[in-house]
Amino acid sequence: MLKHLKFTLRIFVKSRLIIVTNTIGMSIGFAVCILLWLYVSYETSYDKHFENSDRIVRLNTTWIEGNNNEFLPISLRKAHTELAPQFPEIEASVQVFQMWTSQIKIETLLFAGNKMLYADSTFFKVFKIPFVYGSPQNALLNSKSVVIAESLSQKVFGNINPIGKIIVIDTKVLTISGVTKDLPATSHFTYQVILPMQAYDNLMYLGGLEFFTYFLLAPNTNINAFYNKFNSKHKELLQDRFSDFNATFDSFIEPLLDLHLYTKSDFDLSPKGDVKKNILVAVIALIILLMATVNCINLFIVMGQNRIKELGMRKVIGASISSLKKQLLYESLLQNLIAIIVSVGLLTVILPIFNSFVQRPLLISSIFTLSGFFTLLSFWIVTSIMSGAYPAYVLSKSTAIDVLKNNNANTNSKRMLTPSIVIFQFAIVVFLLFSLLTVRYQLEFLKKKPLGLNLHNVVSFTNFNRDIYLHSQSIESQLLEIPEVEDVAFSLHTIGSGPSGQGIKLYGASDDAGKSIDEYRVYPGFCKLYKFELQWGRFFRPDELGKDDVIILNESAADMLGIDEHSEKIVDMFDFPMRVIGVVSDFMHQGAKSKVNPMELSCRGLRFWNINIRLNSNLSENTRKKIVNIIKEHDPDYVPKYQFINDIINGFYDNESQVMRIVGFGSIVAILISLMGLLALTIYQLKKRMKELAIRRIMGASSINILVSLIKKLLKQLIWASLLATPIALWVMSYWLNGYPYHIQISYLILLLSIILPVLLTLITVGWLLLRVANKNPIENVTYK
Amino acid sequence: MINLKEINKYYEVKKQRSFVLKSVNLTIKEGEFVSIMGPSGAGKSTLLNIIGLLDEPSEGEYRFYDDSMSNIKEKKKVDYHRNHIGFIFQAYHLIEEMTVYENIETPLIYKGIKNRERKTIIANLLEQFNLGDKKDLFPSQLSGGQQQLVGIARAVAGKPKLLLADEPTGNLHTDQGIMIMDLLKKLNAEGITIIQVTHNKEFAKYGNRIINLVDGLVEEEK
Ligand SMILES: Nc1ncnc2c1ncn2[C@@H]1O[C@H](COP(=O)(O)OP(=O)(O)O)[C@@H](O)[C@H]1O
Ligand SMILES: [Mg+2]
Repeated sequence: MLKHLKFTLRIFVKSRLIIVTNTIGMSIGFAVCILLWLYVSYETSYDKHFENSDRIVRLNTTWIEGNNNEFLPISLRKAHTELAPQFPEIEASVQVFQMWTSQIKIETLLFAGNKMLYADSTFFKVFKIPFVYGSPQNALLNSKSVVIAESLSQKVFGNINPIGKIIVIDTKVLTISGVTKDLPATSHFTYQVILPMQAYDNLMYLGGLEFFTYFLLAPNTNINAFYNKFNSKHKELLQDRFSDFNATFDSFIEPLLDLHLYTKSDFDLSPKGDVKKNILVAVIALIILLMATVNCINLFIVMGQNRIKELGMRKVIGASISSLKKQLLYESLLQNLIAIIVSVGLLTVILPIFNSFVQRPLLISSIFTLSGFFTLLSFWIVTSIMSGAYPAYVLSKSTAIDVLKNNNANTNSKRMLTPSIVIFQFAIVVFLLFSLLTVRYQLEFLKKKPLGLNLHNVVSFTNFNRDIYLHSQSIESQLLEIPEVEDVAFSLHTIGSGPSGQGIKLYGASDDAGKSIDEYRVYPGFCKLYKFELQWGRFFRPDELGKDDVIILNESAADMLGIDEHSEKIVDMFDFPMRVIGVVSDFMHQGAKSKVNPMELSCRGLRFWNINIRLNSNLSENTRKKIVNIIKEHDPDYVPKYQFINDIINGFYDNESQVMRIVGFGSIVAILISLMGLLALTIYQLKKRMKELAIRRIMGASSINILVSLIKKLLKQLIWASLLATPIALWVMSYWLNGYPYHIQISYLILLLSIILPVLLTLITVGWLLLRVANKNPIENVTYK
Repeated sequence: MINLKEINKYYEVKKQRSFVLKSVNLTIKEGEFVSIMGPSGAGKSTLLNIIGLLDEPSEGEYRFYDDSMSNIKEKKKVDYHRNHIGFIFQAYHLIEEMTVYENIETPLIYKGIKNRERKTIIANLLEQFNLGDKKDLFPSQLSGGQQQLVGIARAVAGKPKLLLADEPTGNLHTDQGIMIMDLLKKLNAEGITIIQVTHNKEFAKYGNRIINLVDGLVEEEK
């Protein structure tokens, strides 16, 4: 074994150009695949840490209106209080209500940004989270008790047992009854504070869809039978509760372990995993590894051709074909082992970048576990076999006679893969480049698409106490005194935030004519501030604040109801007449990615959650302070929170930006790897032909002729590759684009560009190399051995 | 030991058969030292390669120790190379990335000989061939004669019955050539059957039988 190693290392040193090329390629390939593995094992480990995780399930609701299905991870309070006790299959049941983050006052200190859950006292029966202080049995029994997470306890109390200490949340005074371990980041919900459901006034009596409902099922429950029974009961409950809605309902139960990646629900307690994006990442990683492997195959064959003599001699002195195959595979294994070691080093550099990129706390130490070891082992063996098997097969077939006759120049050349490999690699490069450019142009198109409103320098402040609306007039006039403030408007919803759902019909129409519609509740002035395009009619007047008999529709809503400037304009949402005073062009409040639904603006509520401010310049530190101070005058505990609306809208394109970055990274790496392989290949082919080249030149052939013939061959391969890549690229990208209501057309110009760009790059690099060789003094090459 | 009957070897060049060997009949007994002579391109190497199972005749019957060598299995061939046939070449064909020691050791490894036994075998050979102080050098660090010594040591390490030498002195000075021929003579005296190809009349006389190969036809010299 050691002898083998010594010999192989000598061979490697001799063919160092090939080995270095292979190692760079394979170590990048391995690094991205290890990243992929880390990422996938992270994503698939969600919620596994809970005891009995395989027996915990969640109840979900489907709200069906016409063709529109909304999947909601929440259900009625009664599902827990009335239905659950009827089922012996349910060992424990709990409902959870997520509150926005709230301020916690502990002694005189304020802590913001804590995640808060309200839960039934059975919470710790379903989710057996370990306690640091206190015990789970009665931690949430008392309505004035509260459980906090260890990290918060550490931050506030240090290493002291905080049981019995008082904390104030909003205005509620609560006693700490337990401290739990923090949940790992791989949990589909998280909290710093859990309050008993009774601690929140009326929460338990909320009649709507509000609660995340979890059951711990008894062991050996017949899952399907239970699901069917429970869902039909829950469905009845929903139909009953929402009988006055023009909707039907369904119910479905999902296992806890599937929630993060596969929940059908539209939202969840934490951002859902994105299986599609995971698959994309996987495909890109595998493509990169494949490119590297393919390089290896090619270069191993080239390396073998230079060793035909050695392999032939081994046969003469008694090597069997299988022992030669073994030797060649061993070399491939060793080469890839080096690459793996390099890739682990590489990972320490790129993992932090990747982490911030996918927003996951992946750790390199995961490789050094048993499963990490086996994963690396299988990567190693599979790629070694992939890259080594074919060369081993071809090369071990070469006969000693080839060597003795000294015609090794064209040994087996007909059997060699080289051209098809170049074609394959190049096709992938074209495909990736085309995808990258298409994604990029689609993203640009989305970002540039007119939104039907003006977001320039509009910032929204939020996070006030509930009673701030009482001060709206003085806040407005004070804000307007700041010279940088151009306009101010209050609103409950704002651009970029989700609207509420309502039902609407023409006044006097029958009940089943009802349609669902989105609502933004705003103050008069909102439309003016955002510069909506008025199609006819007018915006709200200041004196209409709080009135519930006037609304403004967007164009889609007007079309849906058949209302125009000259028709009847009275509609019905709450069993009394409302007048449509104007129609505005559809404005894309969720960015250009999603289609605009019918929407209605009303000014019927006084409460607001946003102060929209249009500035006449950027938000300077000074202006920000002035604004915050004015708000603080009316809400002393105010913790500033604000966002530019443009940033919110751009945030909707995060997904596309990420896809672009993933594909972009993949294309660049894949292009580099294949170019590297191509260059190494050319260098070796040239070395072999140098003598011939030189002699032909001495005999008078111009170097141009020789270059032209070499480049012609390469060009032919590139054209084949483009022909192969084109239909696949077109099909995949039109499929992707069709997922968007607003999208660009497939561009043949982009396709042409994706072909020409790499062709040029290849020709330039290879051409440069050829020229350099060809212009050398021919005598040098004749004497080259 | 070797029995060739009506051996033909030809290549199809542009649908025309071009004969390299024409109805060669040849018998070689164990213990003989045969020298093959002939002009360049006469088919000497081809004949040697056929005898050494590196090439196959197009027609005719080849028997080695009374076993027919036509259509023999790969495994059997490997076995002959490991245990019965050694080769030396004009261009030495040592493995460049191996030291002298490793070059000699490799056939023994293929033969499946244990490490300790290998060590004694190689030590003996190195001493016998005066290569003791060269064992850790690479072929490129040796003179041609020394390389050929290593080539012979490698060929005889596995104790073959038959040693095939294709112009072993072709690249050497006369005095180095004489040294090699003396060595072959000694090996033959120890019982190894040798067939050598040579252009040198003096060296041919080292053999106890000389065969002339002219245009693929064998002429025995008496
Ligand atoms: N693959 C082949 N195709 C055609 N002719 C060949 C081939 N291999 C060898 N020959 C011919 O066979 C003849 C004999 O070659 P060889 O045995 O090497 O001659 P020698 O060793 O006597 O110089 C030569 O003329 C050579 O051209
Ligand atoms: Mg010859």
